[in-house]
Amino acid sequence: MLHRVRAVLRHRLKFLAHLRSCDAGTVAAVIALGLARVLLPAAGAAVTGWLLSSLDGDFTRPLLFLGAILLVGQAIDIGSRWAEFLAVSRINLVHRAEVARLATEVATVDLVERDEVQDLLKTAAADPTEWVEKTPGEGAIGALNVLLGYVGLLATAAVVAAWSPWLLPGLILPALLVRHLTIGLWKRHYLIWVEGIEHHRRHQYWGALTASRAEAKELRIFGLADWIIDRRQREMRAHLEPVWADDGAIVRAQWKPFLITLLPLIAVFAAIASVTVDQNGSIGLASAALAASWGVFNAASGVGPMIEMEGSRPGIDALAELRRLLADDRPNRPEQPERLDAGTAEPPLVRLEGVRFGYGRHREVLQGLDLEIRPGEHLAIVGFNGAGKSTLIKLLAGAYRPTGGRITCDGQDIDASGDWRSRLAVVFQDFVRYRLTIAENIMLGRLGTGERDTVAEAAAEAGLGGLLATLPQGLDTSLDRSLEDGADLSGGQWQQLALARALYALKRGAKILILDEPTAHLDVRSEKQLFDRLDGLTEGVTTVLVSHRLSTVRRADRIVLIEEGTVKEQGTHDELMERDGEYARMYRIQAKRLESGFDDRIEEGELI
Amino acid sequence: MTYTRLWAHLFAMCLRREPLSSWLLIGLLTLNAVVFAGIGLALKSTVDAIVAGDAGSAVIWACTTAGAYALDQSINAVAYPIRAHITEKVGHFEIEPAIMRASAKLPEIDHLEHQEYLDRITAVRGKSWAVVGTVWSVVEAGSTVVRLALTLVILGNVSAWLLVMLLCIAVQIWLDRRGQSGQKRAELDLARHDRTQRHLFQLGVSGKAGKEIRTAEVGPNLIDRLTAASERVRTIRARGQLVSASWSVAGWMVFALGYTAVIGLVAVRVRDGQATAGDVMMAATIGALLREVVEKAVWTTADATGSVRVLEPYLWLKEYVEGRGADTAETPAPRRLNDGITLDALTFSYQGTCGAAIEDVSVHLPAGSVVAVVGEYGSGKSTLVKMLAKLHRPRSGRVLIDGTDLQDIDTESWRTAMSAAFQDFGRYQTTFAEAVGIGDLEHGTADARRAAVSAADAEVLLSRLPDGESTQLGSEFGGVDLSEGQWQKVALARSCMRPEPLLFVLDEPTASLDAPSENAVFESYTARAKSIAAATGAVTVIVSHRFSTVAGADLILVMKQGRLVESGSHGELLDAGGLYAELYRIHADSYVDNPLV
Repeated sequence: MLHRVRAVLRHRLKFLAHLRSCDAGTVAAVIALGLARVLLPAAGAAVTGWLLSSLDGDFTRPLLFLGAILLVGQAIDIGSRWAEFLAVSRINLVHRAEVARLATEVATVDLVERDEVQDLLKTAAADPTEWVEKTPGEGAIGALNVLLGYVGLLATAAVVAAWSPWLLPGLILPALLVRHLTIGLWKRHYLIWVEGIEHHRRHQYWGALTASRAEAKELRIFGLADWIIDRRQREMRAHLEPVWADDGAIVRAQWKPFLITLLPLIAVFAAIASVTVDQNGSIGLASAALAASWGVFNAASGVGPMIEMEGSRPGIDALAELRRLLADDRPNRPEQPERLDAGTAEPPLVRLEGVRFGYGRHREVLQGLDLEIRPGEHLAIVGFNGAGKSTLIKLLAGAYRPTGGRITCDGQDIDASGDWRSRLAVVFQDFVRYRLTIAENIMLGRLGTGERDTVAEAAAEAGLGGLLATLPQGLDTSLDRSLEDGADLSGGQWQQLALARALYALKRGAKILILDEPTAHLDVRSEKQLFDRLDGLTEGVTTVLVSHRLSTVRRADRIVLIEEGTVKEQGTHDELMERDGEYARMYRIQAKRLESGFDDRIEEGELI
Repeated sequence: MTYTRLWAHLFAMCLRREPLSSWLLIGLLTLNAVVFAGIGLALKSTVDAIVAGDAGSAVIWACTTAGAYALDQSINAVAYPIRAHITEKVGHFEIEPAIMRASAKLPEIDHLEHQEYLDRITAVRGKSWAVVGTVWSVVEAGSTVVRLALTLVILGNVSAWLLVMLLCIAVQIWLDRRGQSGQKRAELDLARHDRTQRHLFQLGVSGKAGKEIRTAEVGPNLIDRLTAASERVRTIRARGQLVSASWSVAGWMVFALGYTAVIGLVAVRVRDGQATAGDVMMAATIGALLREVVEKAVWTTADATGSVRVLEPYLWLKEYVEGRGADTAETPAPRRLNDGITLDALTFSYQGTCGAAIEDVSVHLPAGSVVAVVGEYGSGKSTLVKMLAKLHRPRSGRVLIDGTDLQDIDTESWRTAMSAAFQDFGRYQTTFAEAVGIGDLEHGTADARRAAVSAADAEVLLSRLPDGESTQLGSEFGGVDLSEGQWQKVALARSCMRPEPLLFVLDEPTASLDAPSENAVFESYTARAKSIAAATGAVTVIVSHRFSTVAGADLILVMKQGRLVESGSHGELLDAGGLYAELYRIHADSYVDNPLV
C-alpha cells in the first residue's frame, strides 16, 4: 500500500516538478487560491447550518459570512484562474524554449531530421490543436488540482463528520468509486481517439490541401477537388468512427455511477432526516450535513484536472526522451560568444579525405571523395542532380558528419575544431526566410549582435539598396506579410537577403563563402549583376560555388565535377573544355541550346 | 443572413442528421432545468418537515432531494458526450465538406490571393465542430434561462422582493461583458508576437532551417528571440485577463450583495413568521447553485459572442461562394483546335493591388504551335498562363478559343481538355502511383502512367524508389523525401497523364534540374508537343526566364510590367534588337568568350 502511494506520488511529481519554472510568488498564489477554492463548499455548508440555527436570534453574522463566502468564493475562482494562467503560460514558455534549445544545440542536423526525432519534437511542441492534447503547464496545474480536490473532499467530509463520522465511509467510498469509473471511461475514450492519430494527421493534411495556394492550380486543372475531399472524409471516418461508437458506450455506462451516487445518498439523507426528527437534533447541523454530503460527491466528481494531467503526459515524456536521444551529440558550444570576429586571419586550407556519406539506409551519396580547398581560391562544384553537390556543402557546413573519411581545416578535424563554423558563411539552396525584420534577418548570419553599419553595408552589397529605398521603415521593415506594415518579398529578393546574411558573416570574420545555387530564383540580368558584384567582395576569401548553370562557374579558379559521389574531373574552364570530358559535354549542351535554339537535338544515346 | 437565421439553419441540420441524439439532448437540457428547481424545493420541504417533526415526510423529501442531486449529476454526465457526438458528426459530415468545397470548387483561384478570404478560411477550417457547437451553446443558454426563471419563480413565491436578484444578475452580466472586450483587444495585439513565436519555434526544430542556424551558430539568438516573443504574448494576455477579471469581480460583488440581502430578507420573514427555515435553506442552497448557473450564463453569453469568431468567417465564406454565382457557361470545349487561341485586349489585376498584372495583351497563338513566354520577375508571365487555364476571370478583354469566348466554355470541360505543370506544383504525400495518376483521374491506367513517367524522364527516379510505384512520397507520413528536382519530375509526369490536351502549359518546369535532365525533358516535350499538335492542333505554352529554353519556340512573347512588349520568333526578335535581344545577349555572353551576333 505504502509502495503504491509512493509510486503515485512519484508519478504526480513528474507533473508538479514543472512548477519550478515559475517564480515562488506565482506558485504560492496558485496554491493558496486553489486551497481556498476547494475549501469553500465545506465552509458554505457549515455557514448555512449556522444561519439556520441562529434564525431565532441574531443572525447578522452568519448572514454576512454567507454573503462573504459567495463573493470571496467567486473572486477566488476568478483570481485562481488568472494565477493559473500565469503559471501555465510560464511553464509552457520554458518548456518550448527548452525543446527548441535542445533541437538547435545538437551538433548535426542529421539527428534532428530523423523521423523519430521529428515525431518527438512535434509531440513535445506543447502547441495543442486537439482536445486530447494538453500542455505541460496544464498538466502541472491539473496535477495540483487533483491533489487539492482531495483536500476539498476531506473538508466536506469533516462537516459531515460533525453530524456523525459514521456516515463517512458510506459517502467517501462510493464517491471515490464513481470517480474511478468516470476516469476509466474517459481514459478509454482518450485512448481510442489517440489510437487513430495517424488517420487524424492524414485527414488534416488532405483537408488543408483544399485551401492551399500551391496546389490550387493543379486541383482545378486536374479536377481533384472531389477526390481530395473524399480522401479527407475517408481518413476522418477511419479516425472518428470508433470514437463515436464509444460516445454511445459512455452514455450507456452512466447508469452505474448514477446508482452508486443515488443509493448511498438516499441512505445518508434519510438517516440525517429521520435521526434529526427522532432526537430533535439541531436543524442547523442537519442542514449543514445534507449540503456537505452532496459536497463530498461533487468534490470527487471533477475529472477535468485528471484529463489535463493525462493529456500533457505525451509532451512531457517526449521532452525527456529528446533529452536522452540528443544528449550524446552536443557540440562544444562556443565558450565566449564574443570570440567571433576572427579578425584578419587568413582563410584556412580545407581537405576532404575519402569522405563517405549516405542518408539513413539509402544508397551512399558520397563514395570516398577527396578534395582540397585551397586558401583564397574560387572553387566551383558542378554535377548532375543527385550527384552529391548539396550533400557535400552540408558536410562542409558541419550539418552532417561524414560516415567515413574526414574533413580537416588546417590539418585539424573540423569536428574537433572549436571555431570551424565561425569561419564559414553559407547560402544554402533552401535558405531560411525569417519572418522578422530585414536587419534581424541579416544579423542572424552570425552569433551575437553586430554593428548596425555592418548590417547596412551587407544589405547594400547584396543589392538590396533599391528595395530598402522603397521601404519607409528601411532595415526595420518586418517581413511578416500578414502585418499591415510588413513587406512581401519576391523569391529573388529573399535570395538577395540570404546573400546579405552571408556577406554579414564575412564582415564578422568568416573566411570561407559557400554558395549553393545562389541565383536559382534570379533572372539573367540580376544573376549577372550579382556575380559582377561578388567578384569585388571576395578578395582574400575562399569561395565555393555550387551551380548547375554552367555559365556561372566559368570564372572560377578551379572547377570540380562530381559524379557518383567522387571527383570525376577538375581544372579551369579552359582546361576542362580542352580535356573534352563530361564537363565539356554538359557545357556544350547548355551553350548549344542557347546558340542554335530549341530544335537542335543532341544525338540519341549521348544522354544517360 | 443574420446569425439567428444561421442558427436556425444549423439547428435544422442537426435535427436532420442526428435526430435521435438532438431530441435527446434537448430533452435532457429541459429536464435539467426542472431538476435544478426540484433540488431547491425538495431541500426546503425536507428542512420544513424536520422542523415540524414529521419524520415520515422528512425522510421522503430527503430521499427526493438525494434523487434530484444524483439525477442532476447524471444528466450532465450524459449530455456532454451527446453534445460532442452531435457537433462532431454534423461538423465533419456537413460543415467541413461545405467549407472545403467553398475553397476547392470555386472555378477561379482569385480567392486564394485575397487576404480577407485567407484569414477566414484559416479561422474556420478544421473547426467545423465549433460552428455546430455555437447552436448548442444557444440551446444551453436557453436552458439556463429556464433554470433562472424557475429559480426566480420559486424565490418570488417566498417574497416578490427576491426578484431584485434579477436586476443584480443583469448588472453583473453587463459588467462581465465589458471586461471581455479588453481581453479581445489584447488577443488582437498579441497575435503578431504569437505568430513570430510559433515561426521561430518551427525554424528551431526543423532540419531544413537547422543547417543554417547551426552554421551561423545563431541557435542562442533564436532562442532569445523566441523567449522574448513568448514573454510578450504572455504579458499582453495576462494584462487583458486581469482587466476582464476585475470587471468580473465587480460584477460578482453586485450579485453577492443582492444575494445576501435576499437571504437576510427571508430570515427576517422567518422571524416574523411569514416564512420557514426551509425557505432560508432553499434560498441559501439555490443561491450557491445559482452562482454556478449565473457563471454559466455569463460564460454562455461570452461563448456566444466568442462564437462569432467561427460563425462570422463561416457566414462570410458562405455568402462569398453564393455571391460568385453559378458557372453558367455551357459550351463544351472543342475536340480539336483549328485556328488557335486569341487574346483580345486581355487585362487583369489582382484584388487589392492598384496596378494591372496584365494590361491590354492582344496576340494570336496559332493551333499546333509551341509558344514561349519570357520576361523578368513580376512581368505577368504566370498570370497570363493562368488566364489561359481560366484560373482568373479577365477584368476586361477576352480569351478566344477557335473564336469562342473562354468565359462561355464550360470550365470543367476546358480543364479536362488541357494539362499543366506549374512552378509551385503540389507535393502530394501519397504513393508515387497516385501522385502521378491524379493527372488523369478518369483514364489513369498503369500504362498511361508508364508513358507519363518516361515522358518526364522520371524512370531513374522511379527505379530508385524502394517500393516502386507504391512508395509513399514525402516525409509527412514517413515516406521517402524527394529533392526539389525529384518532386518536379513527379509534377512533370503528372502533367503528361492526359493523352491529348488542347492546351499544354509548362510554367518554369525545369528550374531545379541539371543540364542533361533539363535537356531530356525538353526533348521529350518537344516531341510530345509535336505529336499532340498533329492530333489535335494543340498549343503548348512554356513560361521561362531561361533563354536556352525558349529559343526554338514558334512564337516568343516578351512580357514587361504586364504588357506584351515584343513577339515573334527567336530570329525576328534578335533582329529587332529590343528587350529580348538585350536579355538574350546577357545570357549568351555568359557562355561564350565573345558576345554572339
